[in-house]
Amino acid sequence: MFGLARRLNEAGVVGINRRNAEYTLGYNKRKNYPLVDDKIKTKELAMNAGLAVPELYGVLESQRDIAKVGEILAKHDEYVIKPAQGSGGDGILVMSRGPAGYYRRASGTLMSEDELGYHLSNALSGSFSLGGQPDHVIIEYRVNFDPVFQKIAYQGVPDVRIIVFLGVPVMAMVRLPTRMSDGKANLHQGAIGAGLDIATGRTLTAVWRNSIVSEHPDTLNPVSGVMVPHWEKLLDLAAGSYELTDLGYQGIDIVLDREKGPLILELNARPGLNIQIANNAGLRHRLELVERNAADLKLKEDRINFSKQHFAVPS
Amino acid sequence: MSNKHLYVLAGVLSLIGIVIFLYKTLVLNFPLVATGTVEVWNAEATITFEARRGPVKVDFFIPGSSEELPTYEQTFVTRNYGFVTHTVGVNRRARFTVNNASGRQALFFRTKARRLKPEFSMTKAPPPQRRASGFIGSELQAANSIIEAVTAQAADTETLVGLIVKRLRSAGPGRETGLLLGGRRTDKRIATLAVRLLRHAKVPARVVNGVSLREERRSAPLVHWIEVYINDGWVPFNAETGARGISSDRLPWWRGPESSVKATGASNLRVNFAVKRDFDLALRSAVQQARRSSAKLMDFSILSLPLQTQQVYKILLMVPLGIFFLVVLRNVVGMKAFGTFMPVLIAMAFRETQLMWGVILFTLIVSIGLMVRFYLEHLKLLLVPRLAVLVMVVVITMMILSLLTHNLGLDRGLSISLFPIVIMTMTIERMTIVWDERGAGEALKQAIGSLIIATIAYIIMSNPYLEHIFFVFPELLLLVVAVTLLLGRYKGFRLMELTRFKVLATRSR
Repeated sequence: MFGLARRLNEAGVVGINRRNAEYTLGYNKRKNYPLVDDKIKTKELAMNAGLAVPELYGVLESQRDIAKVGEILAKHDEYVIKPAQGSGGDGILVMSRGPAGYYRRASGTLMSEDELGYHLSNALSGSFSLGGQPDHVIIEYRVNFDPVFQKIAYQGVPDVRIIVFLGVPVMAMVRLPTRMSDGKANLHQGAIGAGLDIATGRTLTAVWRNSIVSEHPDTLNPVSGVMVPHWEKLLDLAAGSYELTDLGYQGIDIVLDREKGPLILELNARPGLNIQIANNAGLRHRLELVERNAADLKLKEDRINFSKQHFAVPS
Repeated sequence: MSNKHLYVLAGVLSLIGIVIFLYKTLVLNFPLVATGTVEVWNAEATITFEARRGPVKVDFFIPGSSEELPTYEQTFVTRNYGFVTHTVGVNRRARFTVNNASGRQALFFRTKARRLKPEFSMTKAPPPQRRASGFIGSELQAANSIIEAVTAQAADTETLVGLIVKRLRSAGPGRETGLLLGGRRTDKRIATLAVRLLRHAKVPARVVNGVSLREERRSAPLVHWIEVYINDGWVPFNAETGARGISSDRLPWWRGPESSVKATGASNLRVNFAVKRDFDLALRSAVQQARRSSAKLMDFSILSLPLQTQQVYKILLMVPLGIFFLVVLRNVVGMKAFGTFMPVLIAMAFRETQLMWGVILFTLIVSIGLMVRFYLEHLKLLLVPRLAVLVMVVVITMMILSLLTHNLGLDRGLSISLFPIVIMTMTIERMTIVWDERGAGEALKQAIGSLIIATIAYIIMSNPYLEHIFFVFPELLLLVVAVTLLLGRYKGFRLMELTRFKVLATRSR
């Protein structure tokens, strides 16, 4: 057991305790958390900086607003409904227009207006928010994902997660929804995570439910060797997110839209650790390398180059 | 942020805890085991006399306490007599009074004493007043010649005492010592005379009267020894051998040549001392002594609170320990559970229900609650009213379970009423959300995790040994705080993460 712990340590694997004690508590100021914990604020922040985000269709602020939801949704064919302060992907609905009185979920099942109203009421009461405090609900553009992922995603929206440390993109993965994850891209809900070569955006190994897989469990297509398009733009968004939130250690989630290109979905002050399994590499050596060179990495371009130079995976 | 600050804080807290703990165990003799017993001695004095119709006043010396042989739980049985205790010179005395008494009277006094050190050591005191030896005539001449002879041989006060006692012991009828002692050579006379001779040689000295605690005696004779003032304190000397030092198996009752009791309005006055060996709960004895010796510390002890409050703290003091293990199980082992401290609160309820019943009842309530909660899902209630209904359902479920188990003759089931209702409700609510969002597997995993943590916390929190330790030595909580502080900066892997990241250890070589 201690041998295993030692080998993991040598491999530079970061556990929850180290992530919390050293990186989130050490580099993220508490006052900046609301910027990323509230998706409405994140959206405003990104828009003010001129960065692309999924278009906001509407915000529900109180139970009374539930009545307005039909009106908002009627204007669009597809949409995503999210609790503004939801954690871990809980409470997110990916939907499209359905038969009269119904909405169609990403999985294909129907949801009645009543059921949706109940879900919204729960979300507004804080059922899905971190501390259980009352929450807002946002309705936004449902991303039409880039066909590059067609073969290796089951419904839903695949997104790219990049860990950014002191403005340097240190590790990246693409999260592919599966039938099990109901179109959501969260790993603990059953989505696949595939590691990415940070220099080129090429998929490496993939992890599904804590074990390494080589093909998508639903489409059975190989998941490695796929190039993520707009990779330079993604790196640029990731490196720039540091100036956006001032959080030293964060995860940025980016979706690739067929027409609109990369859109910032959300930022996370406590990004998960499964990205290490997806990349088959520990985070710590990379983080420490950045820590040592932090003084020379003031400019965004320097940070991106540093990342490409040090964290590339030879093919 | 530097960890030095944390280490210093944890170190200081542990140090304070350990110092108080050691002081209480080593100096105040607080026992480490609840059932620990210690040998104590019961010394009892019975004063009997005939009252001659009218007011009676009895003065009786009572023993004080010392570091080597503390006395405690002094009790008087005096029937219609009123009594006060006060200090007379170096002694403590009780005065018993009654307006009118006749016939045979009996008064009792009892004390407990516990030997803490094998020997009496010097007791510090300011220099006493000089006292006259009171020799006159031929006695004075005899005393002078003894002192003259003895001081010629003595190197210091200590040897002087030894020489005087030896001379008195070996007194022949024709010598000066014989003249002074007269016919009755009792120990008391020898001790008193030795004191007078020492005073004559300008060495302050006094007689100590006490009872021997060496064996149980219905009627214990008094024993006597000498205390001599040497270098700022009274040093005990054996009046039989003249050697320095007195074993603490003698309870000093009073000092001086007077008799132990005197009375007015009474005749045929007698005192009988009895000595009995006894065993006392170590904690009780320690608390009693600490009350007498270092009252300051005891004022701030839980043991000085009313008994009922003490019982509450007995349980409350175990909560931090339960929470400490919860921290370990969560942050070091990596177990998942509902609510931050919910398992510890459940564990507290287990104290009343006992483990097996606790687990059964908990599972029953949560299962029934879950079913009702899934049903409520169809009614699409707002959050707060829904939770309120759930609380009511939990209460009703508990009541029905109590009635059922009672009618089945299983009275353990009644203790269900002690489950924390609101906590149970929140658990049910949280579990449904997890069930919906992450699947039944994850929900059950967390529920079972909660139960396992609660069980472990219960086993620790109900351990009678630990309960005793933390009740008697609450300062040990500072150590728990210190370790928890350190755990707050624990950056190593959680045990569960080892399996989670296992692949990385094997492949990344």
